[in-house]
Amino acid sequence: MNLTFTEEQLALRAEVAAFLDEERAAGSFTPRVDAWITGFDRGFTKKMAARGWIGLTWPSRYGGGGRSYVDRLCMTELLLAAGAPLAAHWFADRQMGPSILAHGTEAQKERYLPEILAGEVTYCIGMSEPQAGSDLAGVRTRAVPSDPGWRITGHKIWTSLAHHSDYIYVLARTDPASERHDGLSEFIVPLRSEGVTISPIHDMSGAHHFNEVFLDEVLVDGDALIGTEGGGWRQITGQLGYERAGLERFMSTWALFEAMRAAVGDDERRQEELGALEAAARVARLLVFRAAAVADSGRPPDHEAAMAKVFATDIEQKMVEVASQWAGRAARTGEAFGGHLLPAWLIAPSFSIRGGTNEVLRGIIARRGLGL
Amino acid sequence: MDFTLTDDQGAVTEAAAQVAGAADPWGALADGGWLDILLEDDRGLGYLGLVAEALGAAGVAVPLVGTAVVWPTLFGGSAGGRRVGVADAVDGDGAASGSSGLLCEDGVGAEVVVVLGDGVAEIHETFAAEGIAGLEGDGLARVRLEGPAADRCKDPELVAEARRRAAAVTAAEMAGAIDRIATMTAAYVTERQQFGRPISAFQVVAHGAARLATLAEAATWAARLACTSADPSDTAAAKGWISAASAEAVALGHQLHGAIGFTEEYGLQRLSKRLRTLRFAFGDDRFHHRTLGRRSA
Repeated sequence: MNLTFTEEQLALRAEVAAFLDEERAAGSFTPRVDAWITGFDRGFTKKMAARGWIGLTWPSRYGGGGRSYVDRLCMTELLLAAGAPLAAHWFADRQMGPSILAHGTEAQKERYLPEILAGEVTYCIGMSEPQAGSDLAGVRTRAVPSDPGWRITGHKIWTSLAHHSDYIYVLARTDPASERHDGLSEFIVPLRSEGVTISPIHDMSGAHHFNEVFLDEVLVDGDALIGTEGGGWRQITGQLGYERAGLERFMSTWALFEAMRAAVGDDERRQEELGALEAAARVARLLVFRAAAVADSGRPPDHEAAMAKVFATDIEQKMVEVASQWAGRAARTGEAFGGHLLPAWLIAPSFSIRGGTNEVLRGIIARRGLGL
Repeated sequence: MDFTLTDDQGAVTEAAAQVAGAADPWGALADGGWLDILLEDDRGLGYLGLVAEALGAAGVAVPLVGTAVVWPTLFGGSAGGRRVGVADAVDGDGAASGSSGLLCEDGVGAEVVVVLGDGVAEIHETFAAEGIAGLEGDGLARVRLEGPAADRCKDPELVAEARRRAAAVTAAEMAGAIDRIATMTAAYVTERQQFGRPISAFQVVAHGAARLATLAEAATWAARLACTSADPSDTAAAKGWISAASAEAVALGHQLHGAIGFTEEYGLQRLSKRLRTLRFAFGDDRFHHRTLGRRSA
């Protein structure tokens, strides 16, 4: 146990901090809440790619940085704190790349990874369906063998960034006789394929990042299937661990937190409330780093990731509530806390829903963490 | 950032579990050399944190913090195996304690008392200590000083460091107790049958156990960081967060245990009382939150 950064990690952080200073000075982005999912900026992503910061944890023989998941957090912590636009590569870097690395063939790795590493392609996540939300094993999208590969038909929903994406990573049923967790497989489907329709869903802030994605007899080649036919559930469990075990689970609102810091002054009650949030955020950070350390030990974090996400999103929502109390009447305006409060409040309900609801995650902690 | 215990840390954890389980834990602490470890090893505070976790898990109340942490920090030497009680004469809001005496951590059975003041600390060898009814098993006493100080530490930095280290090791002891509550509760809800099934089959019960496990995990790492870091903000975050979490853990542990947890015979009350005592020792949640908030603003 050594809960400090190594020299190498500090050096990486210094590089990232210097890059962010340059970008801010050049006005390349404006810090805002939830920028890792809504800040779509291909140029920014390519700058990160040029520095080797996409695929930092991937093996060097596939062009990755060959570094640890803890190292990746050392970097993403600063990017998230800055409210930098990361959406163009975030999902692929966080979970599709690792999944292709873990389950893909050599040919698939050679085909899909270089363009992610170059920051040239964006992936979205094709898991949820209208009747399969928390109960993901209820997916009805089906893939039928069809020369030279598969025909996929189904209806995905809550697909963030589909309208900006090149690929959707689809969970589909390949065995029509199967039920629940069996007979599911994962596919990489190019969104420019014939039969794909993307339809926007505006969230309660009015923003468009969600979509519905309709797949109508979409033909993909045999190489689109990642991993084992029928083994998709096991694969996806690992992916969800990576999805949940990130610092974005409490740092989506960091721009708001910085604005709160500036608004404390000599008010003792605010000092105490800010301190309570800061203390909880520091604890959340340790849980996230611990989940990354589990990933570094050679398996995807599971109940550890669930624990970190439940804990962290709770704090993220508390931040919004405390800021609202401080702002009072002005909480309803777009000016409060540097303009960050209202946008944060408008997305806050999603924190404990996206990537697994807190109810589902508590079930994972109870079953797989405690064996209940 | 490495979360695996090193060989030496693992050895400390094993030894600490034996100390906590010994018939005479205080004697075992002295025999094991733990009381002077801060003077002998620059990793001493981290080791004492692991020892405190084990004591906390066992619900064993001994004057570890006064003897092994506060005394050597202030005076640079060993307390010679004496049981050291610690009275903080400046409470969280900066007001001096009342004339009815000072609340003293580990004051029951203390052989010497250190009084922490504003930038100064005093050693008192003549005093009268009276246990606080209901929590006397945790050493909490009201202490009346009966003479001048035998010695003083007038270095405000050392006094501040003694408070910081005391809070860090106290946080570790609390983490141990919270972890034990979480483990006991998970086991209990699996064994206890009602309505023809284990009560863990009810989602609300399982989720309560999951919350307890999360509090325990979070407390453990927060305390371990505080005990191995020199940054006072890490300690303020740990003692503040763990103090607040301890109240939730105690309430949830009792709720999920039902009536049995409320009895004197069952072990849960030992942990509840210990956490009640330690929550307010060396700065409670509000005090540390305000400290951290002031620094962070």
